[in-house]
Amino acid sequence: MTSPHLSERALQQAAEAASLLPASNVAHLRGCLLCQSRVATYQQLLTAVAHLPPPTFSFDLTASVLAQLPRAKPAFPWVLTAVATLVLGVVVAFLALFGNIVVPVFQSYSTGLGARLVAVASLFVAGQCLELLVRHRRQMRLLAFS
Amino acid sequence: MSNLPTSPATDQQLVAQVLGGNTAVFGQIVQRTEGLVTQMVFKMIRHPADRPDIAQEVYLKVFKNLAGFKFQAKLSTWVGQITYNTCLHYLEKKQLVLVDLSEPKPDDSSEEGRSPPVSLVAGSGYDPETALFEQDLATVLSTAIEQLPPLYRTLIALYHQQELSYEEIAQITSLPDGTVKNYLFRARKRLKQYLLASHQRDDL
Repeated sequence: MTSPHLSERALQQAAEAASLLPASNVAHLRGCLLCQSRVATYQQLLTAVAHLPPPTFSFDLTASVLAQLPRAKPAFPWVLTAVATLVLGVVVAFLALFGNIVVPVFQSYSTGLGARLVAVASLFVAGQCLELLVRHRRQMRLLAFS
Repeated sequence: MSNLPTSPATDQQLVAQVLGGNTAVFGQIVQRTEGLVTQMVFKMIRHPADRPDIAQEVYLKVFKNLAGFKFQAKLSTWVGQITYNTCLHYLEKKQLVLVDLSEPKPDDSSEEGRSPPVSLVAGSGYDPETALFEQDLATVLSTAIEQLPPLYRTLIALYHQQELSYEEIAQITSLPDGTVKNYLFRARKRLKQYLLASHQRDDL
């Protein structure tokens, strides 16, 4: 055998895929035990590298990333706004149409009854507002510490 | 059986859902690319304490720039690019060297026809290369890979462990294909040399 041994590059090529080698190198490789052994060494090396266990983090990367993502802004309450507008429209339309009948009816009640009604309604509204405030604070506390 | 197997969502579908406000779906993108990112971060960043922060920084950048991703490459390749650039920025900040340029030129033409070292000649009765692979390679290999410069470690991992093509690696690292091939050649050669040297030291 007179042809020189395969270069390091050719050995690597042969280890990856012998078909990449020029014909002269293939011919040499067929008859040279040393080069065959070197190719086998590279093949074993590359196979071992491919089978190394992949590195992993000791924590849940996905959960950690998700926890750090900026919270999505709450969507504008389009449905609620539409319903409120509709209700307001109906009330305005009702007053526009029947205002001249309804207003005198209320005016005919005595002042005392009117005051009591206003007081009850005020208390009811105040209670509702208080409950809303308490609920809002509780939710904010939950969100801040969750 | 009424439960038909559903095909997994494509990258495009996942991206569209995340951009539509469903941030929980971003978890699937993380899971799909976590192997690549972890592999790259471990190979490029030597200091273990810095790795978790960098991996998380990568994904926060991915999330922030997701709207700008136009699918000109695979999603994983794009995530790989961000990982590579983030690690590169870290190395620059720490003034660490990505690849040791003081090593010999990749031109191995001088090896053509070179006589093999005496210890490697077949028939000499002892072949350290063969004996080497009778040892527990996983441990020895991991140590040897650690000795390589960060870029070489990364290329070895991307090509041989993540099974990416030269083109994909070139896209991730912004290096020309030829340079990727040359660096990989050098990396494998140095890896073998480290292993042989370490084996010979053990034999003494």
